Amino acid sequence: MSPRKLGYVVPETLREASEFLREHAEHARVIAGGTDVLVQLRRRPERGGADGLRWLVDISRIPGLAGVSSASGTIRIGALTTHEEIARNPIIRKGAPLLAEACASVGSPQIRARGTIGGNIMNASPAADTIPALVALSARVRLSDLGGTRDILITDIFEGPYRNSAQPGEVLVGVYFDALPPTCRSAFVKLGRREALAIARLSCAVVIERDGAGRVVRAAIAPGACLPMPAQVSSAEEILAGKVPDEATVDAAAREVAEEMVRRTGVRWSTDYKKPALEAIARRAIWRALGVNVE
Amino acid sequence: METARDKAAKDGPQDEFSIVRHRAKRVDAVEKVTGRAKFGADLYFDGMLHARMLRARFPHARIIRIDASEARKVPGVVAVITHEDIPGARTFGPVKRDMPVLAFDKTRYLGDGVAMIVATSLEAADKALELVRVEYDELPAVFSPEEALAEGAPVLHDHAPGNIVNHHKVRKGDVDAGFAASDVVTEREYRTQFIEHAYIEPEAAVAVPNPGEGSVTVYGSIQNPFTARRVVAEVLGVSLNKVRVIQCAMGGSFGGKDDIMSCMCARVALAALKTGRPVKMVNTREESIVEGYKRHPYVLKYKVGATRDGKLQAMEIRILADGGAYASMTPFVTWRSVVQATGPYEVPNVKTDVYGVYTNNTYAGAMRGFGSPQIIFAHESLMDELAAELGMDPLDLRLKNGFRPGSVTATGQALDDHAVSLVEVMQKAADAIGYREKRKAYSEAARRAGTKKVRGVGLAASYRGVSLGGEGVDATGAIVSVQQDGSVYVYAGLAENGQGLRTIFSQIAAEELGCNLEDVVFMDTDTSLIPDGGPTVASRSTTMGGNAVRDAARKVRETLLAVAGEMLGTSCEALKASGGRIFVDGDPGRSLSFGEVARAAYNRGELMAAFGWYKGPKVWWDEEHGQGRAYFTYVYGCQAAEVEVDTETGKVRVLKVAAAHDVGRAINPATVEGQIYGGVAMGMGYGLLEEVEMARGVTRTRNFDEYLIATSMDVPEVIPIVVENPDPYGPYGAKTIGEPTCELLAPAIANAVCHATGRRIRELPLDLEKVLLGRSLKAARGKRGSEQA
Repeated sequence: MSPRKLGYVVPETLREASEFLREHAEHARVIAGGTDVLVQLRRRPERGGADGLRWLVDISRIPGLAGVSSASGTIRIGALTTHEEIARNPIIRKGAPLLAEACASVGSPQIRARGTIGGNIMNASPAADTIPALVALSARVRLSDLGGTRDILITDIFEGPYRNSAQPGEVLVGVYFDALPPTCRSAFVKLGRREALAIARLSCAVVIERDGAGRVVRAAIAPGACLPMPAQVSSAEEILAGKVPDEATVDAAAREVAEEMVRRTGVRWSTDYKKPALEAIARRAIWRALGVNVE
Repeated sequence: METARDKAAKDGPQDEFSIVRHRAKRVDAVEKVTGRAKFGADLYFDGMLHARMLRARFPHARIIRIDASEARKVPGVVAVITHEDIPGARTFGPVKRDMPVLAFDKTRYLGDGVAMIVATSLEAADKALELVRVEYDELPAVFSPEEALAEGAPVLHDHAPGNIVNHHKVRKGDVDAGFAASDVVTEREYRTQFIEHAYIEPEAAVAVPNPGEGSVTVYGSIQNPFTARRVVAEVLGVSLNKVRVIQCAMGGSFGGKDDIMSCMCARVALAALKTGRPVKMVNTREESIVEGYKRHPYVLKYKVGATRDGKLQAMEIRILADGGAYASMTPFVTWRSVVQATGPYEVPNVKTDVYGVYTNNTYAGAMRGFGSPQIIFAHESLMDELAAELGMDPLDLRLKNGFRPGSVTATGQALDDHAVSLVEVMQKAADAIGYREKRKAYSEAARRAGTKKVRGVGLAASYRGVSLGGEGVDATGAIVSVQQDGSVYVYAGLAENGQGLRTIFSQIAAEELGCNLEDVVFMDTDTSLIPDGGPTVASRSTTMGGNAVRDAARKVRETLLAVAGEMLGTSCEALKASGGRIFVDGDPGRSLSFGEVARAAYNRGELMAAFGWYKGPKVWWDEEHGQGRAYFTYVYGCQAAEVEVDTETGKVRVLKVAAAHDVGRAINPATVEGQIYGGVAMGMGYGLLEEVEMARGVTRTRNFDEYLIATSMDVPEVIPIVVENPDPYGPYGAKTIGEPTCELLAPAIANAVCHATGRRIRELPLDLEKVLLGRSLKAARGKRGSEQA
C-alpha cells in the first residue's frame, strides 16, 4: 500500500485538540509517539488497519502532558511520558517498581524512547505491557474534554481488544495511582517469544502488602495477554489474603489465576498452552512480590 | 625433518601474504554505514513512472476476463499492463518454464501478478488497482504435498499431471540386506517449515528505455544480473545484447532475489518499453513476503539400521518437498538434498527418494542452505535418536561413522583429493562448548527434582558440496584493469549480495598485483561489461570467482613485472610485488612504486588489463542410478549449542554456540567470522522462531511483527572456530563459508533441548507450545488480535 495522504494537525492546547477531535470524530485519531498508529496505517482494513481516517492529531506539543510527579502519596504520570522515562524514573522505581519493570520490557530501545504510556493505554492492546501493572496498582486515568476532566478506573477505559471507551473529543492526559508503601512489594513477569521486540505471550503483574507478621493484608493480581478485558483476579487474591503464604497457598493462587482465565475466555486453540504457562508465570510473579526469586 | 621452507610450501604461512588472510575492512563499509550506498528504491529518473501489481484473489483459479477500462480512466494512470501486452515469452523459470510474468490462464498462488498499473504517482496506481475487474473461475486447490499427491487431486500444471516437479534418487548397495544385518532399526518422521529470507531491503527495480529499438537498462536489487537479463530479453522478445542489467547495492538476498527479481525486472522493462518512460517498482514488506519464494518445507521419513556397536548399516529415506505453485529451483534444491541426505557418514546401503511437489502455496526456491537445512535437521536429530537407542553418546556415534580421508559417499564418490576434516571440526566444536563435561553434568542435574530450568548440550555436523556440482555449467570470469597511476578496477561476473564478495575479490586482486587494497575499486556488476559468469549462488563466489580474479591479476602482474625488471635491470623472476612496491627479492632497496611501474607500462603501450576465467573441475551425475561425483570438493562443519529450557513455559534460551567450519583457507578471517555470526543467527531463527504460516494459501505472517527473527538480544555468545585445510582447487586453498553456517544450529538446538528435557521434537521451529506440550498448536490457531478489524 502506498502511504496514504492524511491531514496532520498539531494543536497547542487541550481545548484545540478536543475541538478538532469532536468535529472530525471517527475521521481523526490522536498520535503521540506513533509506535502503534503508524504501524496500523500500513495495514489494510481487513487486517486491523485504520480505515476512514483522514486526520492525525499530534498532541506532543501540548504543554504539561509529560513527566512524572508525586504529591501526598499520589503519583501522576503525564500521558506523553515515554516508557524509557518511566522505566528510569526514581519516583516510579520506588513507588511502583512493577510499572518500571513493565515499561522496561516494552519492545526495543527505539520503541521505548518514542512510545508513551498514554498511547499504550489508549491503543488497548490485550498484550500491552503497562496495563496489567496499572490494573494491579488500581490506577485511574484522567480524560480531558471541552467541559473539563473526568477520572475513571483504568479498567473502565477498555471496551474490548483495541477499543477504548473515550468519547470523541476526549484526550487522555494522565494516569494516577497511590505510591506503594514500604510494606508492599510488586512484580511484573512477562513471557515473550524472544528477548526483545516481543509482544507478550503472557504476563502477570502482582502487588502484595504484608503486615509485620508476614500476613498478606492486600493482594492484587492482574494477568496480561490472556483475558478478554484487563482485570484483577479477585478469586486468586482472596486465596492469599490473610495468610502467611507458603508453597501450597501460592500454588493454589496461581492455579486459580489460570483457571479464572479459562472461565473468562472459554477453551480456545491456545488454552492447552496458556493454562499451564500462565499458572507458572503467575506463581513466579507472586513469589517475586513476596520477595522470593524462584526463576 | 620438515624444513620451514617445506612447511611454507605446504601450508602457506600467514606472512607469505600481505593482504589475503588478513582482517581487511570491508571495502563497502563506509558507504553503507553512512547511508550513501544507492539501493534500488533510491533511484530516480526524470519522468519516472511507478508501477504496482494487482495480485491473485484465489490461490487456484481460472482467469476468465480482465477488464481494466475503469482503472485506465483514473487520472495519473498511464498504462495498465496484462499478459496481452507481452511481446515475447509469457513464462520463465530456471528449470521448467512454468511461471507467468503476468498470469494469463490461471492463478496458482496468491502472489501471482494479474495486472500491472503504471502511473505518475503511487496514489493513482493504488486507486486504479481497486478498479481492475478480474473475473475468475475458482478451482479446487491443494495446500500440502500429501494433498497434491493424493489420487484425483487438482492439477496445477498441464505438464505435471501428478503434481510432481521432480523425483531424485540415490541407490547404493542393498538396503534390505543392510537392515537385515542391523541389530537396531529406527524409523522417524521429521518436518520443517516455510522460511522467509527476511532480507532488510524488499525487492526494487527500475527500467529505463534506451534510444535503440527495444533496448532497455534495468537497475535493481538483483542477485543474479545475468539470469535477470535472460528473462527480460525473453519476455521482451529481444536479443540479450539489447538488455543491460546493472546491480544496485543490495540490502541482502540469501538466495531470495533470483526468480522474483527476474520477474520484477521483466515487468518494469515491459512497462518502460510500453510507456517510453522510466518505470520503478518497489515491493512493500507485505508484498515481498506474500510474493517471494521461500525455503521449502520438507516431510522427511528416515529409516536407519545399525549394529549393536553403532556401525551404520543402511538408510532408507523418503522426502516430500513442498515446491508451491512453480518449479523455480526445486529440482536443484532437492538434488542437493538427495546427494547429502545421509549426512557425513559412511553408510554402505542407501536408498533415497526425494520428490518436489507442486501445491497452491507460495512457491519455494533458493534460500541460503539450498536443500541442506531440512535434511540436516532430520539426519542430525536421527543420529541422536539412534545413539539413545544404542545407549551411546551421540558424539561417539558420529565419530564412529563419520567420513574420514578416503571415505565413500552415498553417491559413490571417494573423498580422496581434499582434507576430510569432519572429525577435526566435530572435536573442536565439542571441546569449545565443553560437550563431554556438560553432557554428563546436565544429565545428572536434570535428575534432581524441582528444577524448572534445565540445561542441555547438543551438536550437529554436516558435509557440503562446494559450488554448483552436477547442477550445471560452473565457470566464471573477472577483469582486472590497472590504470596509469597504479589504481585498479576489478569487474566480476559474480555479484555482491552483502556477503563480502567485493572485499574478497579486491583482496585477491591486490595480493596478486602487489598493490594496496585501497587502490582497488570494485565496479558494480553490469551485464554489458563482463561475460556471463553464472549466478551468485551455492557459496561459489570465493572458490570460483576468486580463481578468476586471481587468474586475471596474475596476467597483469606478469606485464608489470616485465616492465619493472627492465627498469631495475633484473629479471622479473627476481622481483616481488607487495605493499604497493615492486622490488628485488632480498634487496628491497632496489624498488619502484606500483604507480611508477604502471605509468612506465602505460607509456610503453603495454596492455595492463586482463581477463580471467575459471572453470570448475569436472563432476558427473548419473540420474538414473543416483550415483556420481556430485561436487568437486566438500566442506565440513559442526555447531554445538548449549541451551536452557524453561520447563514451565517452553521457552528455550540458547546460552552459547560453538561453530567450527573448515573453509580451506580464510581469505579474510573477519568476514569469515561475520558469516559465522550471521549464519548462527539465521540457524537460531530456523530452530526456534521463524515460520511463514500459510492457511489455505493465505500468508498470515506478513511483516516482522509476526514473522519473528532472532534479535541481537537473542543471539548468544558465538565462538567461531575457523579451521583451515587448504583445498587443491580454491584460490589459496579457499573453499566456502556462506551456507554451511546456517544449516547446523537448528538440529544442534533440538538435540540440546532433548538432552535437557528428554523430549524429542521432530518438527521445526521449537516454539513455546511445542517445547511445553510436544505438539504444535498452530493448525488450530485463531486470528491474532492484529488480524481483527
